Amino acid sequence: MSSSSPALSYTGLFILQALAQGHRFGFDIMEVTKLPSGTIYPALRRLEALELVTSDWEKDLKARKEGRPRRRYYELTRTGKEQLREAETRFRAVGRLFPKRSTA
Amino acid sequence: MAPFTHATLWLISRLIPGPLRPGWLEEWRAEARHGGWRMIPGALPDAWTVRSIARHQASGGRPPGPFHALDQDVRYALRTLGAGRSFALGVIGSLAVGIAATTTAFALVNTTFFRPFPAVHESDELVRVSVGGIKRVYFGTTWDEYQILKKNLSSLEDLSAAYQTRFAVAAGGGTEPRTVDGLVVSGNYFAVLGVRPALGRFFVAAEDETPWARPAAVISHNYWQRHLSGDPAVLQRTLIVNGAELPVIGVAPEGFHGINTGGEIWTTFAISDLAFRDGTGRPVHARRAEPFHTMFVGRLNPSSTPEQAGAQAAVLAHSLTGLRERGFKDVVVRAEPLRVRDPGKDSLRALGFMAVPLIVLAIACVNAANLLLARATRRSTDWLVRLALGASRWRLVRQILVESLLLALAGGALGALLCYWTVGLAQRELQVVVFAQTIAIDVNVLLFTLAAAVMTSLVFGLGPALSVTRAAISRAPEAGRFMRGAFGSRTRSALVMLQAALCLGLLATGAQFTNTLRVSLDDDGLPDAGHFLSASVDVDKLRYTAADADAFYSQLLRGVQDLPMVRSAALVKADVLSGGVGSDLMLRVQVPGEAEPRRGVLGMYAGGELFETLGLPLLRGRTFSPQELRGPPRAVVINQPFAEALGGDALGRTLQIAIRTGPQGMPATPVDVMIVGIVAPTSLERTVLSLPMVFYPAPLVQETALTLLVRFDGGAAAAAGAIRTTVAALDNRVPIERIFTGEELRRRRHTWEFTLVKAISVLGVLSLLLASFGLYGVVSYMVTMRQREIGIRMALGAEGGSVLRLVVRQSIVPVLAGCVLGGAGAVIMAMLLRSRLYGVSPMDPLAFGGAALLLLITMIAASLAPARRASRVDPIQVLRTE
Repeated sequence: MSSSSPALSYTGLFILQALAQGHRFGFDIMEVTKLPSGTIYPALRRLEALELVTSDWEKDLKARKEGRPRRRYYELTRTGKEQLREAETRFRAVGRLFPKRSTA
Repeated sequence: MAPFTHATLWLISRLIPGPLRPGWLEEWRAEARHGGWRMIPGALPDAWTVRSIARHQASGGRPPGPFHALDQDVRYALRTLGAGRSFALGVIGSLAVGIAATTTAFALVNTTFFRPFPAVHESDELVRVSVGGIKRVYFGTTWDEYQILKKNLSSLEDLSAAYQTRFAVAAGGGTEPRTVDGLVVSGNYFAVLGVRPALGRFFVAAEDETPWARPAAVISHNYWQRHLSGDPAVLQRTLIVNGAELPVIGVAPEGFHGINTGGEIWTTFAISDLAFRDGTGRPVHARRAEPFHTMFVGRLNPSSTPEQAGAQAAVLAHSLTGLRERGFKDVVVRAEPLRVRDPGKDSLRALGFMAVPLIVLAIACVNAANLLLARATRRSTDWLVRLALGASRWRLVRQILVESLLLALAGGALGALLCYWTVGLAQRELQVVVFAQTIAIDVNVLLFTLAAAVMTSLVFGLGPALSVTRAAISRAPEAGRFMRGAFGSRTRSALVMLQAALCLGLLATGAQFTNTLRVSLDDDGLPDAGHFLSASVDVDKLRYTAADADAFYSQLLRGVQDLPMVRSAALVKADVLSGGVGSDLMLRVQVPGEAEPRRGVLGMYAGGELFETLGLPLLRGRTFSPQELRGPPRAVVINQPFAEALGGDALGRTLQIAIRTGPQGMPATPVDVMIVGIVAPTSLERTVLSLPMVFYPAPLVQETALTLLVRFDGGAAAAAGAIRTTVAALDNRVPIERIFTGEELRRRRHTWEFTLVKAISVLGVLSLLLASFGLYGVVSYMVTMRQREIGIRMALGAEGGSVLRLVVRQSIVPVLAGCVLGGAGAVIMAMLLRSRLYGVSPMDPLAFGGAALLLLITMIAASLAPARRASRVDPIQVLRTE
């Protein structure tokens, strides 16, 4: 897989979309996308390796206040956002190919 | 968070490169707080992804090596195997059977050849010292000679001696004595071997010196558990050993039974007169006994090598020769590293032993290869796509090899389990014990299984991998769908042929041996074996006086003859029926007027009605009168072979006979006897009774170990019970050993053959099952691939029946070719084994025909099911899909 034109899988797209909607950590994304953990996390790693996503640790203080370990928060990079927009346009175009289905 | 989740995450995190690990763990712990343990299944693929990304980044885009992205192949292989589960199970099952057979055989070989002695400390430092002739015969040695060896072998820390014997042991409290294998050992025996007691203490070096100063016994862990029910107070108990009361001072560790020889009980040479007898049968201390067979084991000094010990031993031969007389000069003393067996010398035998299981494994491999080939061909479109996308041929070969390796490993794991089960079963049910050791599944065996699996995967994977990828490279995608010949490829036909050949080879060999064995058993020479019983009644262990022993045996014979169910009874020297010419059967026979005594004549005390009991017909003269049977011997009966050796009319001639005693014992006084009768020799195979024999009616010296032979009416159990009662009524301390019916004796005489035949038959049936399963797989595959052709045939008017016949006929052709090949192989095998198996003819048409017929019927049955499927092909359906 060459990094110049990364192919975005459906899973990748779902995750990017979830991130864009403000879901920021693995379990949260799992809940909203209904995808299994074995799919979400590896996909996040790959997106991060492709630099569509970056991650950072939650503030220590906040986690301690809520009495749990720190979370790793993910967010879209600029390329990530661009990719997502591009994909959206493309899939909307695809959607227009099937007008009957889109109304359903 | 549950500790289980915690631990699992920690374990999985081991996959991740060090610097990334803490972060990964922290993230997952946080995530698991939300999702709990059901998150865990995701952690493994995630860790794997993190790992491969890190690796990829570390490699910095170097060109991929030949094993690049192997994990992808593994994952892909797992997925495709999971999808084609019946294929995978077929291959794994076949391989498991083959690997289990080979591993079981190897476990036996491993126990025999490679396993260190259980509980023995640093067995590499042990050397065996032996005294023998130039041609590797072992001589007995005297106590004095042991002392010379012990004193002069300075490269040894110490030298121990062990003499194997059998003891009559009673656990005390009026229990019936039982015959137990035991060892009389030097005081340093356990110290030299470095064995530590499980309980109590062992003998100390000085304990073998003063006779009867501190009589004691050490027992094996097994004896303690089995016969003393693991009594924790065993050290306060005494055992009655050969009539003497011995306190138990220690229990040997579990699994230890001595070196090479098996024993359950040990005593020292200080009380060796319990076991040793002089020429006249009286107890004697080992110091004054005639040479006896002793196992000498010594431990090397830390600074010495086995070679130095060997050199020292060789020099000692000289000082031993001086002590010896007559035929026992030319002594060679050897000191060699101690092994159960010598792997160098015995590796060929081990290989021979493994040959048959290896054939089964080969058949299983052929199965796997065939199935793999079939499946790989079916995936030809897959290969073409991958090639078109730029995959190298190596990558495709690698994919198939990875699949076969995974299959083989699964088969190996299953095979190891099967083997574990088989060995357990064999040990429990058949009491298989090899050289006093239990068969163990140890690291060696498991490594062997692993190696077998890997080798197997190469054997059955490489061929299909190469042939399929070659085809994929050279042909258009459609080419794979058209079949050449019956099986579509010469490779497949050849594989089917090979399998049939191997299978027939095994079956025919098995059938032939079974046949031979049955014939030789039917013609065993012991008439009406079901109504024949032999029981060893041994007063040797009880320190009887000569008069007591004589009285005991004559009362016993009379008592048994008086039993209502007994037709006839006789007393003979032990083991005349199991073969083996002991020196105690050698008779010095001097024919008056001849210069030299006759050579090679055996003599036997034949008390009672021996000839009637054994069914030896009297050819001329008469048998013994009651007066003669009371002794002393004046008349003898000889057998036909000896009568022929004497020449002329033997009846009425006189002879001088005398027992030959050991090399140091004085020859007994000769007795003048007259030949009163001539009996036929027995046709019993391999027993002394077929050699030139002289039977005398009363013992020439005191006999202390006699065997009772009885011919009876009715049931064997009743007769055996009555004999036991008779013996117990005379002296309840006398152990009755080895009560066998004629049938059992016959089986025991042929144990080796029975085991071999059983093993070959079981493996033959296994191979038949494997081969038929293999053919079934191949034919089903072929039918699927040829659906279009069959459809066209049927559209053109072929009937279902003719399609069925066509498929079966074409499947059987390579099987027939295999039969010819396998038949030839079996003939060669029989010729090789002829020396080991009595009376095997290299070509037994019945066995061969039967085996070939069985194979053909099974193979036709195996091809019938897919052929029927072919005959039901709906031409319209097939042609529409094309």
